[in-house]
Amino acid sequence: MNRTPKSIPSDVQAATQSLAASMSSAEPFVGYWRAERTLNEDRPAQQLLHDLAAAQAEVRRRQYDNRLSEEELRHLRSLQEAVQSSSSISEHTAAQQRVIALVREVNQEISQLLGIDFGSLAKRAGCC
Amino acid sequence: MLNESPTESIETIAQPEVLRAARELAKVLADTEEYRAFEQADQELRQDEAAQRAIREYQKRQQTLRGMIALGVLGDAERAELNRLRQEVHQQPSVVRYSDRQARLAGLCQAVGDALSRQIGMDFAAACGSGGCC
Repeated sequence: MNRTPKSIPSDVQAATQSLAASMSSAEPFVGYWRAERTLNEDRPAQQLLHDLAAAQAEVRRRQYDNRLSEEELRHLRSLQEAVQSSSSISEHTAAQQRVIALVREVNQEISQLLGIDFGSLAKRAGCC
Repeated sequence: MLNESPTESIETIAQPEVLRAARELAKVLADTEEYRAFEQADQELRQDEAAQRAIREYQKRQQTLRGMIALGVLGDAERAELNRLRQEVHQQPSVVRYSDRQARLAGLCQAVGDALSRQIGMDFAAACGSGGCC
């Protein structure tokens, strides 16, 4: 289902650019980029996320081999708690949720007027 | 899902303004040849009795066989019957037209979605979370 038109009509292009500019300047996006920068600059938080990802991968591996120990589970839980108590990580997660909520509202607005799910049609095939 | 950060704006835009811009985009999309052709095909399909009957028959049979399909125990005869009913649906001229025009509209929506994604630094369609293949 990918018959991309040769070019987007100029009025559609202008409206697309206008919407993108509005979205980028809306508080959820501005807040998101701020949270992204804060998180990128927070070295301990970065390390925590790295350690959590490694621990999660290890637990999955151990579960698969049926060799998961209580201690490994405790280690994973303590990392999860540390991640939850990191202000830069939780603010980043909250900011990301606000951005996604705005994107979904925008999609709903477009979809309602067109009587189609714009987001579904705009999705490129082959996500799995 | 997120790419590099665009430059942060000093002044922010209120949500109603964003939604107004979304409605404006919907308005110009509704005026495109792709959308009008799709809408016409959609209407024709709804009014095509033969196509609607073929769709109903396929869906009804699919519904009755749902349990067997889910369990992966569909017999050859049932599978052949379902395929025949599906083919009957896809041979209806109004269904062919509808699929073709929906694909053309999807092409336009994808191009618009890609342009939006580039400018907002985020995969717009993925963030919508609607539809999808998974």
